Amino acid sequence: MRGEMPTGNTRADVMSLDEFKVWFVTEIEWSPGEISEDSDLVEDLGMDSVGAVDLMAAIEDAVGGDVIMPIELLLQITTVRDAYLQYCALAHLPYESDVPR
Amino acid sequence: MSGPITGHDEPRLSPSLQTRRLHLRMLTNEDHAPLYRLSSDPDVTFQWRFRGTTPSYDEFLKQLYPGVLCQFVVSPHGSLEVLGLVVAYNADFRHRFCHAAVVMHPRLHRRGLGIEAFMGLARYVYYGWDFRMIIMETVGIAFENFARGEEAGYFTVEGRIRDQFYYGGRYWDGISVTHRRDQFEKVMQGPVGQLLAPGRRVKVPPPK
Repeated sequence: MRGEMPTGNTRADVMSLDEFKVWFVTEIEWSPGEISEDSDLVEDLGMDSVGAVDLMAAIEDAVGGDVIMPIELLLQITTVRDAYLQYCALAHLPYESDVPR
Repeated sequence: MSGPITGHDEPRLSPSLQTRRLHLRMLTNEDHAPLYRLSSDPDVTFQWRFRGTTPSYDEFLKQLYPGVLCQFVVSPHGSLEVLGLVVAYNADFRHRFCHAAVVMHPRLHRRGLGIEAFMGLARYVYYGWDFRMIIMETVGIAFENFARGEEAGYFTVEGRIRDQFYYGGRYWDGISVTHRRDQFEKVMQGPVGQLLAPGRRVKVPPPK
């Protein structure tokens, strides 16, 4: 899905889960070379607060459109699969300014 | 280290209290009770001011302000929910440093929101005062949540007292770290800079 922004920026096409896993290993500096969708980010992959900052920023960049990862979505991320699902949500949810009041 | 940095020379500094996801705001009387509860949360108390003791509410309030340069409740945008507290305290104007502390609700630990709140405080402090560094004292058990930050250049570990504090059946190191003005500028070039940048919010549906 592409969300056209007034500025002309667009949100990127959404990756599949397999593509996301490859992206994760490539883009997230602290990621081990192999992960599974069930990997727990903290327990299995050793994510700390600094790692969480990296992940948040990387997902926001991957989605594009200068989108902010909201706290509500952030708190639902425990595993790699969760990160993927929230990445998808971020790519599809409407911008607040686009929602009729 | 150079002298004062002006807003013109250093546009990253700002008196803004808005970060990407958070709003740092003045304490009100309504915040006192939530902060008191947070201070006594089992996952917080041993690493915060009262170290597991249970002061009365009045005693808690008495200790909330002395020595404070500035402190802010951490809330999400558009809400007054108390997610935590950031404090700059024990300022030394002659030698140009202050101390800082961050406490966040346990459900937010290891999510990067404590770093976001701290960076919001640091931006405000470095904008408003000619401090060279912000000093934080932490405990090994809490330090593990952000230890990778030293390698990433967020801060420098300056000192460590081995086995200083006792929690959970073992002793933990006491650790002193500094976040210097030039480190603030440097980390703002990376993912941390994004924490303070505005962006576009999405509409999250309420939980079912």
